Amino acid sequence: MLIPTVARGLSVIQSSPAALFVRGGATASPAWVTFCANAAPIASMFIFFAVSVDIGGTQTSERERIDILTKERNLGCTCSPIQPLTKSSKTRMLDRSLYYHILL
Amino acid sequence: MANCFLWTVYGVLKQESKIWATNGIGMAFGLFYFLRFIKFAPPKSPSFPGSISQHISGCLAVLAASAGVTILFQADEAAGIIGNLAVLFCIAMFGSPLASLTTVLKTKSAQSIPLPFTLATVVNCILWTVAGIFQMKDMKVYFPNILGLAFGLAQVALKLVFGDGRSRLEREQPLV
Repeated sequence: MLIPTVARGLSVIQSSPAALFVRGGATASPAWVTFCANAAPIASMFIFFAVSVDIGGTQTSERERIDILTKERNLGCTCSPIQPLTKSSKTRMLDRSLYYHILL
Repeated sequence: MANCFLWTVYGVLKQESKIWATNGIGMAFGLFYFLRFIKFAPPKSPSFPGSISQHISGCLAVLAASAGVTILFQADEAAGIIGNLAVLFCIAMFGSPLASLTTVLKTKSAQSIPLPFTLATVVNCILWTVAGIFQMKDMKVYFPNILGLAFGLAQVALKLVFGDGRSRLEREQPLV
């Protein structure tokens, strides 16, 4: 249901005046186009590597969160649940967008 | 991961080495990151819809569907179907950082948006858009990248408007 709708939508956009204009005007300098086309895979690779930095950050935040919880437990403090801790909520925010990104 | 897999299949079917080579490597990275991530992420985090096992099933379903389409249809037809599916996934992937949009608006702080990563995405989208329009002349390549560029610029705008200052939540609930 969703795929035929998307296919129909794409074909409508493809035959739109804007798309025809883009195709018609696609006679720009080949040097910069070639540069961009060759740089695109490199930029993608850079992004794939960059995610590892976020993964490292998540692991560190998770360790920090566990440390905080362990300290709390050792102090016998049971009054503060996980939610109000800023670090843990920050971790969850980072987790969420990063996780979706990796999964997709 | 799912997105890279679909683009790899699409690149192979279209015989476009720039697409399949890049996304093939991306798929391998994605798999490695996913395995690292599930090691540290809580299995039943309240912020994720569904469980990790459900997400793995979803990815396997995408894999099985792509294999089915590739076997059942001719290369051109299969490329069209998988390409459309890849466009959907690509749009969802580019939009995924916007998952924290409500948090940004609520807390009036764009701390959760990673600026270097967002800028890298913007540059990447510009390059793929140029390659898609002028070299590959493939709408399935440039259309999601134009949207990705728009999403990326929206995030940069949020970063500029709200900045990295302490969020309202942090000001109200100090870490003590």
